[in-house]
Amino acid sequence: MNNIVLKTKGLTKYYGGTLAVDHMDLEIPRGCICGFVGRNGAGKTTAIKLMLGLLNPTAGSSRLLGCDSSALTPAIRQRIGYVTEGHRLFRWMNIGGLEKFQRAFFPKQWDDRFFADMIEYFELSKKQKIKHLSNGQRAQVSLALALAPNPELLIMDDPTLGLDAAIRRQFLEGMIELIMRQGRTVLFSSHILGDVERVSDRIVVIDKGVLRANCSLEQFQKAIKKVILSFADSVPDLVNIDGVLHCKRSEKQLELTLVGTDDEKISEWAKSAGAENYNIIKMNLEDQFIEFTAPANDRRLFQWEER
Amino acid sequence: MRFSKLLRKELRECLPWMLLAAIVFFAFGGFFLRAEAYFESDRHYSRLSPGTAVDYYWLTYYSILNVTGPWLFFLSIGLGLVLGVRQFWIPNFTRTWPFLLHRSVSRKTILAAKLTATMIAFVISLGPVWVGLYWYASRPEVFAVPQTLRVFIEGWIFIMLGLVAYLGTALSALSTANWYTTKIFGLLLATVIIVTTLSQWTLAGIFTSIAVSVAILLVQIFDTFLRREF
Amino acid sequence: MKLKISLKHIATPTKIFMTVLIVLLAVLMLQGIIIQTERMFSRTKQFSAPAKDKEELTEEEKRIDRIRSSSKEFLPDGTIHLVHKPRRTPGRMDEPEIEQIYDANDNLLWKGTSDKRPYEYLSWANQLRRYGFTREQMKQMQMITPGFSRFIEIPIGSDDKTVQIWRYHPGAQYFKGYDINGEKIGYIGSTGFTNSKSKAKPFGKFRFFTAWCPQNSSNPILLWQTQRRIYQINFERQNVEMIFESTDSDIEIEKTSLHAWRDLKPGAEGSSDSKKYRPLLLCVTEDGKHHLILREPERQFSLAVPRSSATATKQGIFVHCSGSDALPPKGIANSRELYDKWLQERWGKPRNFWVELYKVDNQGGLELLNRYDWTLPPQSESVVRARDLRLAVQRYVSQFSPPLYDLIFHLLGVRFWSSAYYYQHRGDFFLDLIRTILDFRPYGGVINRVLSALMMGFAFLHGWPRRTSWAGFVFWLVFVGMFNLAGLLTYLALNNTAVIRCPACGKPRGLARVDCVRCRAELPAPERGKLDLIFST
Repeated sequence: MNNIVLKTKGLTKYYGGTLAVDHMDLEIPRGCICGFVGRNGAGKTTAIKLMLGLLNPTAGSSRLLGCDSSALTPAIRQRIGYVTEGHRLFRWMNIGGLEKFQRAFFPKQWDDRFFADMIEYFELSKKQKIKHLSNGQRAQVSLALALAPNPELLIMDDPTLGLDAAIRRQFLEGMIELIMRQGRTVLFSSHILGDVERVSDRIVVIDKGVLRANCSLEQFQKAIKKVILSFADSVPDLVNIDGVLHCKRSEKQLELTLVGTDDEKISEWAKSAGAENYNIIKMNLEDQFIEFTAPANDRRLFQWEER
Repeated sequence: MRFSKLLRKELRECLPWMLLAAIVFFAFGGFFLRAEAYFESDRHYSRLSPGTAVDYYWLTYYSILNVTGPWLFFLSIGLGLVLGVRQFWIPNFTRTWPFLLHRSVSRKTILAAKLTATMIAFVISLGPVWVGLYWYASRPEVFAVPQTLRVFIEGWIFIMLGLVAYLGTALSALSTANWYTTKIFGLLLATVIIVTTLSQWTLAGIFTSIAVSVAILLVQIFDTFLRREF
Repeated sequence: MKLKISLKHIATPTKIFMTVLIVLLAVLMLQGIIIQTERMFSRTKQFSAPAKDKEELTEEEKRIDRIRSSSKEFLPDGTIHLVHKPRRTPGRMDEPEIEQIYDANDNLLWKGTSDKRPYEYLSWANQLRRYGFTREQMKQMQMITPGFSRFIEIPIGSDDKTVQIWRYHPGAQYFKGYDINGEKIGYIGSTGFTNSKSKAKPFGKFRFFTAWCPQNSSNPILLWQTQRRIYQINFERQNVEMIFESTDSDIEIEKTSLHAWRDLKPGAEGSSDSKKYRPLLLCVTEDGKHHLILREPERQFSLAVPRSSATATKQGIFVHCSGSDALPPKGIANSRELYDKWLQERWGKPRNFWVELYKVDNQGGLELLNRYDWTLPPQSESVVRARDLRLAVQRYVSQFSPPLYDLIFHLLGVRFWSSAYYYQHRGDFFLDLIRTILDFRPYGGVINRVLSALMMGFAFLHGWPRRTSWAGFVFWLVFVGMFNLAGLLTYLALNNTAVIRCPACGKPRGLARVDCVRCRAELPAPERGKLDLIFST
């Protein structure tokens, strides 16, 4: 069995004259939970739709489970679960009807008990119509429909959009239920980095259509650091340490965001720069993501001194 | 199994509109036909006077399509427009295309289910009512002179024109062009075809124009659906 | 995948066909709107210009106006009188309608109300348009729209009740009869009544019919005209009589006239004095011959005369012809170029009219009894200007039409289009459409060619950065050239894809192909940021 479930090569998409995805080379290994993150308009949904063959690439290619995305066969689609953005389902159907509809396409794989358990777990009834469900409930149904066929690969586009914290927790617990099964791969996009941090073991960051990170969550979190250095006199003009992403100066303090710089090098430079002391700030994934995708070094968003 | 599931889903979506069309046609078509039959007995005579020239108007008589035809025509077109909107426009607004398209069937199967469901909808909603009304009008105690087979066929032609309207709506819905460019061309083509068909006076001409137009629309719908981005 | 590829090859031409058809119709509508708007304004101008008051006319103008508006009547001896009915005083409908009778030398012979007229003029056979049913109407009846879907049904009654209904079957070209209970009675075809369907002979291709009820019955008799024959059908007696048959050419539609043929009540519209006149039927065949069919006694004559009518008294048979040089010669009206040329030559010249009375002898020979000529001044300048403006607008508007129209016209030939314009084909949808299209033919105008070239140039500049293949590029250039404005609009509708600046050469390039059409460079991958965290799996 191939270890790579998803592979894109030079995947590019233009909407008219606007570049949405720019030469994305991505590989997702089997058996991981991959968080796909990016700012608004970064190209996440576009990339997912390209992978699923719902959009045609301008250039490049994408392969899902070894099959070209623009020609996914019914057999391959049967192995992929997909939770759509916004959990758009047929509003006139009830949950039972949707179950029967979905089951028809997975005759051998469908797990009746699993679906029933999930519906019960979410405190829903099969007689409820989709149009009478809240966003959260619809998300739960959507997840149940996607998981019940026991897909090899589950792709979810912002599955927790609009859900409150409690529902999100339930949703993620459902996902964890899935990953406990062998060989399953999950790719999900999200704006809520806390969720990604909670469940993912791999992270992919896309910024303005360009792939910026594709590594394990641990590597990502280890690589991005924020260091605050205090100086007795003035802050040095030259900041010549490797991996500087952002640099914020105040009168006696220097705040650096560094990528890929280990603690030893930080310590060495702090000494050589004459810092009184330095502090490596503990950041959560959200902070790291914001720093990683923030605009260029010399742009100042908030000018504290002038206030 | 999968095709039949898709077909059942599409038919279920068409069901309210099918029933509405059938009921309205039965009620109004039947009522006006009955009224026409009631006045049948005095329509033929008494207007011709001895020793006068006869205006041809007094020698031409309408078939039952005069009273049932407008209902059948407009209901058929209306049903076509509504089903086209229901199957192809509404998924654009509700954004359910990705959910529908990510199935273990090919896109052409999904499209075929929609088209088949619509054809069945037309046949089983308006068809039986028309057959019933025609049968009723063919009874000698209702109209003295029997209706011709051509009238029966013409009723079915109106039903087919509804299908043309449906295909035009579907093509417009699937088009990704702007409103002010070619998006509505599907609907416009359907309109042109309907007008052309109504202007023909031979059955061969009518069937030819319907067949050619349906072929053109179907080819474009299939091509657009298979290659469209959702 | 195979289905996608094979569909694409069929779908692309159908999409082009659909788009160009709709755009052509839109362009045609726009051209029509412009021309009709111009006509509306020029007609408004014409009617809003104050008409010259009667008192302002000179004596000569009054005389010419009187001659123009008079009916030219003949006495049986050939004398011609001009019967003039002056307009009543505006607002005075109580005034009796006076008529004035003048002779050919302009002398007033009599003045008074028409019921006291001292002269008995010859009355002539009338064309039956008003009471006739034409081929086009028969076609319209077979159209499927509810307003048209009708039958010809002849009711036959007795004691105020319908007892039989005879329905015409256009496909089989005979009548089928039913009693009031829906039981079949039989068939009436060209050979008469029969019970057997197989023995019922078709009448032939329908052209025209007229109907009347005789004085002693409310059941109609039909005069039924086909391509080459005229029948008289009496449904009450279930009898068919062939009145006339043309062996050489078809009978012209709607030019059949009757005089004293129908047994109408005295005073009924269209009736004639049966004591004075013999029953006469006049029909015209396409070779220009006029055929007189007479009764009491039965006679038939074929005459080669121009536009005419006929009458037959107990004393003689008369033919009345009229003509003018103000009407275009036959055949010219079919060609716009020839018609325009004739019109240009005619404008500004006086218009000559004439009427002639002939007597027909027993051998069918014609003896000219009298002729009256009169001349009218040329059309007024405002009418000429309006006409010129209309022609000019049409000419300029037509320059946006496809040159393809000219090509089709020349390929099919003038004869084909002449027959398409022929009156008897009116009401046929496709021929009407073709005629409408040809009215907007560019006629090889220079402006049309220049416009086509400009549009091709625009398409070239637009398509160059977007081209994906030479075949497609050349096809569209030729297409735009052949279809002119419609072609350009179709091209833009189907090919207006986005362009970007090529990062390599800086020139515009389309996105339909992977590489730039100019420098062949592919879209460059973005530079990998030094701080990007991309680790291979």
